[in-house]
Amino acid sequence: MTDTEKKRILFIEDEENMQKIITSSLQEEGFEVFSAYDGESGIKMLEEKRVDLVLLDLILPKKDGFDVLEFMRSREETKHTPVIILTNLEEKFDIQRAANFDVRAYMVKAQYKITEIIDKIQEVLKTK
Amino acid sequence: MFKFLNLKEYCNEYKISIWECPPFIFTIMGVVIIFSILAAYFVGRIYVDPFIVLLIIFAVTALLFILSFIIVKSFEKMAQISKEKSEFISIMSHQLRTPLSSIKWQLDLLLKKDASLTAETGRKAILTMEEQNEKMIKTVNDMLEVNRLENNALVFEKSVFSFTDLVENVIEKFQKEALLINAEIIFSPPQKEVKIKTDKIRIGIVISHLIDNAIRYSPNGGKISVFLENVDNKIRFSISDERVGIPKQDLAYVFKKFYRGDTSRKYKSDGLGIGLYLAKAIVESFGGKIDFTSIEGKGSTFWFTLPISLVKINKES
Repeated sequence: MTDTEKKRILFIEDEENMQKIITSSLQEEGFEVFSAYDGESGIKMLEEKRVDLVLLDLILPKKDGFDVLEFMRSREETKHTPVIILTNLEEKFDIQRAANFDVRAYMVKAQYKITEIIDKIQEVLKTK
Repeated sequence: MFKFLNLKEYCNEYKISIWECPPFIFTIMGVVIIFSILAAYFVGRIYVDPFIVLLIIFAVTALLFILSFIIVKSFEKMAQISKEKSEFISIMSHQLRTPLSSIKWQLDLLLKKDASLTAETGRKAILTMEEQNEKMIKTVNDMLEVNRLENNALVFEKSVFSFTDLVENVIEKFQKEALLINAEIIFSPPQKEVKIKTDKIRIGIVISHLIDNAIRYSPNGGKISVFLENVDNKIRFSISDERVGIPKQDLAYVFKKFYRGDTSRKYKSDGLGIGLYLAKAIVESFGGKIDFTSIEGKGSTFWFTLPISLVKINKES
């Protein structure tokens, strides 16, 4: 996957198993992955590193996914960084709230296979 | 079709008291209306003074007003229950979806790597799935326990056991989790071993929820102190953490079912919001008391007591 070789993804997810599974799958596909286990450290990483895409859970410790989105969109460097929401929340209210932050996809974890998530990431990065 | 005519059966079926039962209240209202019309007619015939008729109409109106108020309140309660149920389904499905998604992805990986799978990787994946499966079992068990409690269908199984050992065993189960966040659980047992005759599993559930709570609200680690004492002929268990604490606006809702304040969402991304509710219901069903003190930003102490009538101190040990 030459076109994805150098793409950098920040994955913010507090559930350890999910974090490990997705991170290793993305690494196998040639992505460089940064892992954050809560919103606060996710924000810190966004301040320190340049990433091509953020894969974001919504319910997170310390600062939640919406806090991260608010931070990203208020900052010039991350204003247009594509975000894919990866959550198990499926309330209309949450989907609408996320859409207001111009997220590129809203994926419900239980409904997608890992390959489908990776396909979506590649698709979003191509149309970045 | 005419099931609602059997009021007792109707109210029992929906588990509501007679004064919250719409057919009963409507029957009462009907009777009041019929009697008030008859009363107005006869009183009007006897007394020509319109003032007395006016008084009767006023009294009947007041009575109907009160009945209407009861009806409104009863519908309000039903609407509240319906809302809680819908919220519950949402929370419950989210709680089950997390381990289910984890297992789904783990299976994805196993199937994908079928040929190149090493025994070690396979074993790790199975262990992870087992862990996730246990989470789901625990979630469902907690819910069934709440359901049994609310329907008075709990069967207590009493046995004599060492309370000190039980606390030690439960703490042991949480040590790994505590280590992950750099927390340390320090148990101060009483000088003499405490033996108690009660439902070991249920009291174990209470202790588990209190320890789990302390760990979750200590995101950056710290000391979690557990005390077991014999005070005023009561067993007193207490657990203190020194971290997050509970904000003032949430204090009144700590033991409320499904309540997860902003703080709990920030520090406890999973959870049904029934742990403390369940703990309180179990302790109270044994005639005990449960409460807490908390200062936001400094930490909380949760404690419960069980009456001495359930407890025997084993002086031999």
